[in-house]
Amino acid sequence: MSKIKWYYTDSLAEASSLLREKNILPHGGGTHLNNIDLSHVNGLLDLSGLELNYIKQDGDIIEIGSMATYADVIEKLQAISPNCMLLQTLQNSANTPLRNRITIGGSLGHIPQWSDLIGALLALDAKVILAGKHEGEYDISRFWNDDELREGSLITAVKFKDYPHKSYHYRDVKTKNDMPLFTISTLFDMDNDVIANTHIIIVGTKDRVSKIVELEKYLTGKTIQQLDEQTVIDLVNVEFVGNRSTDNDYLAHKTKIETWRSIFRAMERT
Amino acid sequence: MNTVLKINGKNIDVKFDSDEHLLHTLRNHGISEVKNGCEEGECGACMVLLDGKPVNSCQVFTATVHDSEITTVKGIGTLHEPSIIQEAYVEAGAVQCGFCTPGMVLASYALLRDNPNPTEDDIKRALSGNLCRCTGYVKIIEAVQLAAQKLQNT
Repeated sequence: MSKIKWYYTDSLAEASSLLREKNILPHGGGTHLNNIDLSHVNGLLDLSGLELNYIKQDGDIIEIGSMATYADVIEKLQAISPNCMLLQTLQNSANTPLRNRITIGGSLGHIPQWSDLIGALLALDAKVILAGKHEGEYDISRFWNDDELREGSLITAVKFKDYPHKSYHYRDVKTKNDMPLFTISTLFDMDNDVIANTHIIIVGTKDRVSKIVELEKYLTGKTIQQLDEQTVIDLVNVEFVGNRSTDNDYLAHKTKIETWRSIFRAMERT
Repeated sequence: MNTVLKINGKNIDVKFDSDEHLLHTLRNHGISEVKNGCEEGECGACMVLLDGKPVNSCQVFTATVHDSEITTVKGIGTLHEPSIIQEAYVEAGAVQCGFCTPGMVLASYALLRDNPNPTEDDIKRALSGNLCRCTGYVKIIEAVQLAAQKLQNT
C-alpha cells in the first residue's frame, strides 16, 4: 500500500468540497479501504469528525446517519423497531468486531458483491441522502443504478418508512461467518392474511441485484395458502457468473428453492 | 506521523506510517499481547477494545484513532491478578495453544459487561469474530458460562 495523505475535518461543507475537487476517498472507519490498493487516490478523508453517527425516528420515518455502524443500528432498532427487516439483516452480517466497524455509509458507498445491506434497503424502498456534487435525496434504486451519483458525493444518511411488515433475509453461506454467495431479501406488507405488497430482491446474481418482479406480481393479493410452489419456483429466474467456488447453475436452482422457503420463513416471523 | 494513544489507561507516544494499521503500531511499541493472525479481519487474534467495543486492530488505520481508549487483554487483568474471566478460561481448560486467547478473553469481557447472563447463542454470537485454530470452542463456551456464574456470585 502506498503512503496515504490524510485529511481531517469537522465540517460537512469542507468534506463535500474536498471530495468534489480532489481524488480523495471518504473513510468512515469501516473495513473496505483497509484491504484495497490505494495507490490511485490522493488521500483519505477521515469522517469521524462529522456528526453523522446517529439514528433517529421522526414519526414513521427512521433515519440513519452514514457513520452509524451495523452494531449501532442493531442496538437502536432492537429498541424502536424490533421487527424491522434491516435489524435481522444486519444481525446476520459479518461478525461482532466487524459489525462494530462497518458503517452504513461505507457499506452503501462500496456495495460489494456479497452486500447484505443493499437487498434490505431496496426492499424497504429506502432513500439515500447525499451531500456534495449531487446533494439531495434519492431513491435507493436510483442511487444503485446511477454510478455518477456516487462520484463527488458523500452519503450522509439513509432513511426509510417504518411500517409493520413480515420479512426474511436469507444468506447463502457455507459457514455462518462467510460472505454470502447470494442473499434473498423477502418483505411482505400484509392486509390481514392477504399479501398487499411485496419485495423480493436477490443479491449476488449476474446483474448483482435482481428484483423478482413477476413473482412479486404473482404473490400480491394472495394468502399464503393460495400459493403454488411450482409457480413460485418457475418465476424465480436469475443467472450467476464467474463464481469460482460453486456451480452457477446450482446457485440459480438454489435461489428458486430458497425463495420459496423464505416466503414461509417471513410469514412465520412475528 | 505521531500521536498519543491511550492504551490500558496509559498515554503512550507512538510513531507510525500513514498507511499503518493499529495492530502493527501496537506491536511495534511492545504491545505484543495483540496477536497478528490473518490481517484480514477474520480471525480476531488482534482484537482490542476501542472505546469498549471489540474491534479487529488489523482493520483500523492508526491515523483514525484519535482520543479513543484502547484496551488489550493486559488491561483487564494481569498474570498475578487475573480477571475472573481469565481465571475461568484456565479452570475450564479453554486455553490450548493460546494464540486466540487474548481476543477470546476480550470478546468475553465485552459480552459479560453488557449481558451478565448470556445464553449459549449469545456467547456464540459474541465470539463469532474469534477463530480458534485448535478448534477448542466447546471449552471456550464453557469458560464464558463459568465466568458468568462467577461474576454473578461476586
